[in-house]
This record gives sequence, structure tokens and C-alpha cells, in this order.
Amino acid sequence: MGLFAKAVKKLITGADSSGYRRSQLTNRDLIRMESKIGATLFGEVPAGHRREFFCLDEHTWIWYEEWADNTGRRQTITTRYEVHPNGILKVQDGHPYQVVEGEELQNLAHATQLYREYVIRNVYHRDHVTGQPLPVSA
Amino acid sequence: MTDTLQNNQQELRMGEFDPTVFAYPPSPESAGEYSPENVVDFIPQPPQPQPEQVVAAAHVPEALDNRTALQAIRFSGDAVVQVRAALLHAYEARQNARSN
Repeated sequence: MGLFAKAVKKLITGADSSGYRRSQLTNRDLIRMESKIGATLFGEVPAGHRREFFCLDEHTWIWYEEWADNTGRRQTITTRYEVHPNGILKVQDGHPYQVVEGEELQNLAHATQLYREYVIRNVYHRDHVTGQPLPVSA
Repeated sequence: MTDTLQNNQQELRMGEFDPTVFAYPPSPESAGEYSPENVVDFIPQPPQPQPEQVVAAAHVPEALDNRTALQAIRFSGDAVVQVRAALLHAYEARQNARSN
């Protein structure tokens, strides 16, 4: 399909080159697509691990890690980063709330900026600075 | 990137991951299926944060409204502002995609 035909199709149907409309996807579907990108932002995932990292809502980042221990039992850690106007709280099961700062805060800031850029460009096909739709690739 | 999106579409149909409840069944097929090179290929990756890191003191920057936060990501070096702005911007993009 040529560039012009793709552009017309997108204009009329809202479908992109992969053939579906984002408005048909549920919130959960979109989060899953975002998390596929988010999981790559913290370096290589160790063998046997599963990682998810995503924006849950307008207040929360989620980092989920899953792996099997030496006995083969599944282990999981879910970390919630609650974003407040005056600071960020880290919440994990069995641990008290912690205020995120220092190196961890810098790393989180870097990762979330990359997340924003890659997700907006690669999931929603918009320029992450201007918000304008990206040109349809040939 | 189209390949990546198509892969994501296939995964959506599989339905093995529900981020809204954080109850992920083991998914052997997910191990190693995604190549970071497809997406993250031109910006160096940050060092891996340590989730177990203990933080002792609070950092309390000036409160910002959402609009200010969205603008501030391009200019501010404040990490809390950047985290919050990235969150709001990503969330806004998702909501816009669903409503369009």
C-alpha cells in the first residue's frame, strides 16, 4: 500500500498500518503495549525473569518483577511508585512507605522520560515533544 | 516498529497479562521474545534502579499543577517534576488514543 493510500485509510478509518484502531483497544491492552517498552528501560532482564514497567494511572508507576527461585517457586515483587506533587513514595508489600530520592530517584526520572518518549512515539505514533501525529512511514 | 506493533497485537489476543490486577500467570513464551533493539536503540540505558534501596530523607519540591508539570519536563532538572510530568504525559496520551 502506497503512502497516499495509507494516509487516506488512516484519515477515513483511524486505522494505522498495522490494521487496527487504538480506540478499539481497552485501557488494559494499551497498558500492556506500553509495558512491553517499559520493561526494556532498566537494562537486560535476567534469564527466567519477567518484568513489567508501566504507567498505571495519573498517580502511579508500577514495576513488577517475577522469577523462579532455586526451588522453582515463583517469586514476585510489585513496586508502586506513587507520584505526589511534593514527592514520590515507593510502596512494596511488607515494607513501610519510602520516599524516593538520591540515585534511585535520578534513575526513575531517566527511565520515565524514556518511557514517555518511546511510548508516545511507538505506541501512539505522536511526536513526544509537539504531540503532533508522526508521518506515516512508507 | 510495525513488526513490534504486530507482535503486540498478537500478544493482546493471548491475554496472558492483566496489568490492572497485577496477577500475572507464568508465561514461558514471554521470556526473550522481545528484542529491546526494536525500540531502544539510540539512547543509552540508565543503570538499573535498586528496588530494595532504603531511602532515609524526604525531598519536597514546590507543588505543581498538571499543566506546569507537563511543560516543565523540557526545562526542569528536578527529578520529581520529571517523573510526574512523564507520568501525566504518558497517561494523557493513552486517554487521547482511547477517545480519538
